[in-house]
Amino acid sequence: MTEKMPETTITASVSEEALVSGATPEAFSTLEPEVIALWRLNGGIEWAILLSMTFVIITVGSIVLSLGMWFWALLAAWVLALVVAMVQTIWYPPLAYRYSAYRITDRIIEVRHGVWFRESRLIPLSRIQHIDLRQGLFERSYGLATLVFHTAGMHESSTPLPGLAAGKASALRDQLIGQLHRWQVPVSVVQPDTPEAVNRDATANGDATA
Amino acid sequence: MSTEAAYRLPLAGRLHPWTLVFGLFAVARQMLIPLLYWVFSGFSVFGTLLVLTFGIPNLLLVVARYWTFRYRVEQGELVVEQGILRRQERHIPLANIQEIRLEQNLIQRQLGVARADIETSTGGGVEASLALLSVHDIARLRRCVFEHRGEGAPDGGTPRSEAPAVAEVPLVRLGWPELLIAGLTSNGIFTLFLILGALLRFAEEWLPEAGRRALLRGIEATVRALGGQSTAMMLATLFLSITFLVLLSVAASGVMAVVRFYDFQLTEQGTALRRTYGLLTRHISSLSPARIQLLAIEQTPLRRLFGWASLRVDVAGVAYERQEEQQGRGVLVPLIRPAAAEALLSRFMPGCVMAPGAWRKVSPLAVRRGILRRSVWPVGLTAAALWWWSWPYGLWPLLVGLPVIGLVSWLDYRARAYLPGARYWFVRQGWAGHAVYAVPVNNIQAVVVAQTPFDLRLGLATLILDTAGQTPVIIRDLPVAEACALGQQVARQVEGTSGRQAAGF
Repeated sequence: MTEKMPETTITASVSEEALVSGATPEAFSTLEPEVIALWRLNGGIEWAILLSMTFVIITVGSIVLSLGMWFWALLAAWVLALVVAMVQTIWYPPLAYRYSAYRITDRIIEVRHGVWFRESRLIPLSRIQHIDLRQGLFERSYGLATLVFHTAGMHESSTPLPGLAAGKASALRDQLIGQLHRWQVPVSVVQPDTPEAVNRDATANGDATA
Repeated sequence: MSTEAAYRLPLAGRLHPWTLVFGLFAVARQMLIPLLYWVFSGFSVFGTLLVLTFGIPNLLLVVARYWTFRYRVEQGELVVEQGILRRQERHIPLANIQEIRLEQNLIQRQLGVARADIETSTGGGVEASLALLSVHDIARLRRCVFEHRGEGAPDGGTPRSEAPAVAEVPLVRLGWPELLIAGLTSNGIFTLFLILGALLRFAEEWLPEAGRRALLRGIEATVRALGGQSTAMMLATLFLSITFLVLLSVAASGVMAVVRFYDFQLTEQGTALRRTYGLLTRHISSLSPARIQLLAIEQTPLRRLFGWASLRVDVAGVAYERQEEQQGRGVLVPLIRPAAAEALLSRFMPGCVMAPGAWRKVSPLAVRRGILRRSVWPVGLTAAALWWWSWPYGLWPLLVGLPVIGLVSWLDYRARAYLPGARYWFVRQGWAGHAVYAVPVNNIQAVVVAQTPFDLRLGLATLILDTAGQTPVIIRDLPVAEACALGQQVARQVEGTSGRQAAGF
């Protein structure tokens, strides 16, 4: 399905991950599919506000400054922007959804996102200062929630994880907070796997440690 | 033994009476213009009224502040009370206090008083400022605070009965010749701006209106005179004045370094590092090594040429208000040989040793990316030149620029490397100036592996190690698989260390 070569990218979607390292038992969890509709709605509203404001400015400006023919040029540009906005609103969210994933293994939270600018953020559980559960107006109507992990870092101190089912999000938060201070105990939040095997596997991969 | 007894007592006190005098001076400084008016108007009634209406409330404030300010140590907390109408009582848990910093200017040094700034790890910078206390009181407070730190229980008086005499092991001591070199080799242009800023502030605050106007007129006249000259003359004048300014700023930065870091001493007292420096304002601050987020051995191009470096430290939870202050505070050693700095690393952070052979390079594709990224300018220039001149002559920016860019990109690639260790990661970078960062794995808060569209195409990625310090640790142009593996590895390392304790959070 993907057109990129797997080893040249931070692979995000579940299928790609399985392709790259089938040995890793923890697959990435995807977000709830409803998040696509939510993003479309949010993006649509943002675009609508922006475009309607520009439209008003263009119209009023043309009348006040008596721009004449320039009005039609501006209007054409506006229509172009409208088309781009519509395409982006419809086409981008599924793509973003495909490249968003998370997993919690070995007491490390990993969140991946981004279509053009890809990021994989790894947060060790013991470094978490606090966890926010955020639910916007539309998020609530879709039954979704966003978890935000805060660390004491200077530049990358907060990591949002959007598109979780509300119940799952609060359960996950409670589970993680419960585990914050008991850190010798191995964790398995999403998938009940054997963390010891994972650890050994990981150290075999990462031989850099002196 | 009497000091011993006093020290075991619950500590409580108020500001030193000299606070009133210094407060009076501060008020006088604020009131300079009304006071001047009062004097020059021949002590007129209006002037007197002006001084009284503005001066009396300020003076009352100073007195009230002195009167209401109290501090005490009780039940593992430092309590600072202040305020007249709105009483404020701030409780600072002793365990959270990272540092009690002492600052005193020339007069204060003679009088034996100082300002004590209390810093915590919460990130707000100075949590409470006790100005002024006697030096003796600060020492008592310091002992009281850091005594609690060691055992956790305040009654452990006996094991540290010799605490006041904890041996200070000198690590680095710099005389004025070294400080002068440090100043001369620091980036001079920056100092120029500092001086200009200071001059501007001086002009705004102190210069009377007539003086300011005369200054402006002078500048205007000079610009006019310059405009009247021939082009060559104008260029020569400009060049000469810029050279003069640069030389001036280099000299000034030399003097400034000597003044700021005069009699610089870095000592090790127990586990804490203690810096003492300053000619006019004397600074004494101690730093707990656990608070170190990152150590940087940095070289400006000039320092690199002469084989010098400076040692800088990033500290958790301090947001500096002034750039100048940040510079002074972050500097652990203003001037040191790189080899000596590397040797000191293990002193500051146990087990922090760089294995010289173990450096790992980034991907060679970095050279290509560097060339592409830096080519934007010469390509733009070439386009402009082609438009300006005819076909073959317009190519010169590209012909000159490309070899230079290639060389720079290659040097940049060669300078960049990283060394993943079990407890410390090292990253080095910089083709003109150079920097080596040592990051304790303990203090890494988050790891980010990022890819831009360019990275996607070339199969590269950027690894970012985020600490609570100001310097971002970024390793660019790693092969993506390696970056992912390293990210996973460092995250596991972080989770495996007892970071909370070590970072002091």
